[in-house]
Amino acid sequence: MPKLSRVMCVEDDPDIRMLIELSLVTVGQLSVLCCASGREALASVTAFAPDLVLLDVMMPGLSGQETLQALRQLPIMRGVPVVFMTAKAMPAEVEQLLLHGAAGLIIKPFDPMTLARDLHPFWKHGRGTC
Amino acid sequence: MDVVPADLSTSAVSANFTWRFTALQRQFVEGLPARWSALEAAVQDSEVQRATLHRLAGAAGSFGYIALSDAARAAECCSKADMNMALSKLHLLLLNTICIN
Repeated sequence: MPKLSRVMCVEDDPDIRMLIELSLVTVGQLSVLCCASGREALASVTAFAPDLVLLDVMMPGLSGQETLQALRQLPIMRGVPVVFMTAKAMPAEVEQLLLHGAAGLIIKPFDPMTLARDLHPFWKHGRGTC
Repeated sequence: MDVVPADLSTSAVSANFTWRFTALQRQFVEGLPARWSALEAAVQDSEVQRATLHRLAGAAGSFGYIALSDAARAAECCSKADMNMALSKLHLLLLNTICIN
């Protein structure tokens, strides 16, 4: 049975980026590639071939939604779940984000001890449906 | 092959995580003055200011500074008229976080 092993994280804040990496690598035992922008993610995603993408919503340059749209054009992203990460969680905004084709949402602040575990359901249910 | 008891393996991961988390936490606190300077520099640009507050709210909470996160979130969501008051409160909490760490 395949298991979640490669996660690409796209986050513009360097402190949060390092915390996500620490959490997913040390606690989750995952291979992680962190990108500081949507453009960096688009340039790296094919070579990295992630099982799941964790994507910040509010970023300068390409927003999370714009990055998701662009990622979806790439063959390597077929069937790969994308999980948004946001501090804003009003129900209408959550619905909007899910309408963009995200498999789910992680709310900031997040618990670094459980982040990897929290991603698994999105990977299991989102795989192949995106 | 050596068999590592599950609880020992878990505690090793936990110790490694705690050590690294503490280092990142310290780095975050050391970066707070720069975040405040960015907020001050963006005083004429409410969009940049709110984006800076948004990032601070997310980061502070994830590093365990809940009061600081809440104050940043309150400033991010407040009206223009209430911004000075919200930023003053945030500044006090920010200085307090720096002092006690």
